[in-house]
Amino acid sequence: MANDSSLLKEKASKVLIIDDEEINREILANIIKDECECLFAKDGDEGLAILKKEAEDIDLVLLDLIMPKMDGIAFLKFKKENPEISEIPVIVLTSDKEKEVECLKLGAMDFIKKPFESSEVILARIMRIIEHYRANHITKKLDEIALEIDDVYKSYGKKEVLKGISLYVKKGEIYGFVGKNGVGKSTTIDAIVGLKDFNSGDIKIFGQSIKDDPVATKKLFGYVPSEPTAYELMTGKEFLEFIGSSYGMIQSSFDANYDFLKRKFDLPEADLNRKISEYSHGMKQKVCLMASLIHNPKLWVLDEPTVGLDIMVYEVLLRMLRDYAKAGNTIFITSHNIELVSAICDKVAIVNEGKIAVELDFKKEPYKRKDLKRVFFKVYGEGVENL
Amino acid sequence: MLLELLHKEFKESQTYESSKVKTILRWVGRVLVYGLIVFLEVFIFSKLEPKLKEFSSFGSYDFLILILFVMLIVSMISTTLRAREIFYKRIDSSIMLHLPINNDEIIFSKALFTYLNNVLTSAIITIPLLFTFGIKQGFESGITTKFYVFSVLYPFFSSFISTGLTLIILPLYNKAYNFIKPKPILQIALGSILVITLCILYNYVLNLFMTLVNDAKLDTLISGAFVEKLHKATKFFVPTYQLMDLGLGKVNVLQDIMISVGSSVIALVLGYFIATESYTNFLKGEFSSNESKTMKSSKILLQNPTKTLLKKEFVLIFRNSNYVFSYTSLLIMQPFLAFVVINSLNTLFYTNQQMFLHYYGEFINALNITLILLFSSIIASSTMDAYSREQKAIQIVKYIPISPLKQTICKMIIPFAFSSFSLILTLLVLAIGKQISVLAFFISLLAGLMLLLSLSVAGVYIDLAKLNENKKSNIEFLSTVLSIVLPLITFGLIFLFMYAQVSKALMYIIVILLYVITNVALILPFKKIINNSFIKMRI
Repeated sequence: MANDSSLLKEKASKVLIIDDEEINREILANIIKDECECLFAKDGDEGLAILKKEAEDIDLVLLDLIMPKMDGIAFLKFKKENPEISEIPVIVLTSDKEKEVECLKLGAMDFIKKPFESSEVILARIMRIIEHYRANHITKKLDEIALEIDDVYKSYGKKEVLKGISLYVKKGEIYGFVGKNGVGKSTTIDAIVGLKDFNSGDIKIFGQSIKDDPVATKKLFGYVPSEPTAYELMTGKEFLEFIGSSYGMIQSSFDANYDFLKRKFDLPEADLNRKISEYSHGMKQKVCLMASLIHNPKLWVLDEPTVGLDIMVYEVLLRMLRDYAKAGNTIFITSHNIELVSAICDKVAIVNEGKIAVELDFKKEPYKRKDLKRVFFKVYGEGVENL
Repeated sequence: MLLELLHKEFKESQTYESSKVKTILRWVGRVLVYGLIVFLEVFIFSKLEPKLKEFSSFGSYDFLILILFVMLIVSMISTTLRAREIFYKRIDSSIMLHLPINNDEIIFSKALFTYLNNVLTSAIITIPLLFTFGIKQGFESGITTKFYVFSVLYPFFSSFISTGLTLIILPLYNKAYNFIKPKPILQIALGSILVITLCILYNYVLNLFMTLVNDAKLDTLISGAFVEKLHKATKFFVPTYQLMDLGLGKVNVLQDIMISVGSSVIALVLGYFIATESYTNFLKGEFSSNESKTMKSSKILLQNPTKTLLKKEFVLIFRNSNYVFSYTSLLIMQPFLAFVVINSLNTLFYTNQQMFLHYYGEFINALNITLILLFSSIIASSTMDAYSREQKAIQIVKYIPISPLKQTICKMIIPFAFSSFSLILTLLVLAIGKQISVLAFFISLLAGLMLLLSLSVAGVYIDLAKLNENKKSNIEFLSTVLSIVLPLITFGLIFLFMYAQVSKALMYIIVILLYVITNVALILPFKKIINNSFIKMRI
């Protein structure tokens, strides 16, 4: 379950061979073994199960048409109807010319004749389709990625705090980043938003590296620090004006966002005219939340946003998080509040000793939401009953 | 309840220092300042008294009344300045609003506390003066023990009317304060006028002091006609004249009582009424329901990033109370302080050290230039904390999408601009007051501006090194050291050249060149240092 992969890292191609005859599976595996990693299934049912589980990693399916339980045609029909796996290319292994048209209609990309012709031709056909698929697939995935952390290391003197953190967050996802104190959560967030330098690796926000072009990258996200931080000598309005101006906002866009957020967070004009030093903790947090969203960012980074919030502000924040994500935006959030994380996040990473120990995908495995607390304590070697 | 409220007001008025040593030092400082004031007034009055008698037999008495009346006004002004915090403090009012205490009781306690403030200020200034007068006049002039008892009670009597007047002008002062508060240019203009007035006043007092020290005649400062006019005017100095009449047991007892009591009662009643109205309006304005407040909506107008950064720096420096005594007030006071010191030293040298000046012709210029540079640099050194002044908000600096270089330059511009303005104002005041030569004016201007620039750049380097997350270093003392050492080096160089009989022009050209070289050396690696150190700043 540990996530140590980055999207852009070169991975070996994976091919799923579905054929009831062992000899065919072996021949094909031998042909492609130098270029690809192979997975095997004896019929369509088994193949479908493997494909669903490994959809992210499989680059090609080699499919026999005639099999005892689910045959090739039925497999192609199921695959076509399932959007998660429909795009993975299939090469059909057949000797039946009449079924080729039907296979093409169901999405087959090519055919390998049985009995098998020269191994060079087969390998060339397979690799051509894999390369084409990977090129398209990665471009598409890159377009879908809001935040990518690639093998980030950070140390303070001799003490290593981050030991190769890697993860990516897709557009529109709510990504929870949890862990106990001192395991590198805040350092990771600080590195993402440019508060702290890191020794190696890279962090990209919508494809832009924070190291290469920090000014342009910082425009792409809104950040809420763990402790509400604003200029205490300014009024709430002055602080928002400062943030809006710093981000080079257009007046009309600022006005619209200001009115919207003011209503959302229920901040009266009179309070916004007062100095921030006179605000309560909750009020300060509201202004910081407003400031983080005023420039209309597509990625919202929140570091422990619920600490010290009263129930009213907490509810406002919860509603805001959901609305923001519903609008197709991305959220990266750290919190000690496991209930909050399990309730709103699509993916959660549990970090331990500067690395991601576990990554859970609640979209794929929704039942694991309830399990988060248990997994969390398991990572740190403690039972829930002990706490 | 009244005692509790008074106690609360007293506690509120105290400044709490972080350590006992600081508290003790603050009190020692206060005692020294008040001691100096008392010493000066007693000294001047006791020296002045026999000389005034030469003009007229009632000269010293009239002057006493004049001084007491002026002190009454000074005490009233100083109390008004403090009373604004007593009456219009939002946090205090928000707490009091929720307590089951009658508004009348709160206002009465505040008015009473204002009165006690008045009494205290008045007592410090007037009692020593009255005692000096009594001792100088002696028993033969009809001064009895009753007069000394009266002297002690005088602040209590005179403070009725000054408290009344304080309460009358307080709402006006509060309005004016709120009007000026968001207008920095107006603040600076008013501050400059105040400073120039203080310089003129100081010049007059210094002349008077020197005349008295040298035991010379007062003819150049005071004329017989003036003393005559003053005598006729004293009866209008209500209630000082009437109170003094009573204290000395003069004839019109009933009339004096009527006038002093009447004027005090009128002022107090009117003042109390106005203060009550004003306080109630203040509470209504501050704590009325949100619905009515939402009506007062003003649009936020965005600016370009550079302007907004400059505005932020302005807020960080000029709204921060920590800078009040170390920078902002000193900035306004710099022309006055420089004038006071340079004027005194010039007077001393020109009157007593003619021989020395004969051999070292440039000494006065060098001394003046050094003092001007020292004033400017020491005051400017308190803003050599470009990033530290952000405190917790330093993380905002790091996550906003503005380049470190632009942010740093904006951080330097505001203190540099204001320090430069203060330097130019100081030089103008000194030049108009004929305290410095044209040469000293231009050398101080050039060297001063370059010194301020060097300190700004060096200050940023020191601050960034101090905030480096990898190395903990306490090097902020370097800012102060630099601000003192650089002007002293200038003085040392000029003195050395003077001793070596280098020509005047060459001497100053070398000094200016050294400043130019220092600046170039500091500015060359600026971009590289900022870009490298910015991300390494501790948050």
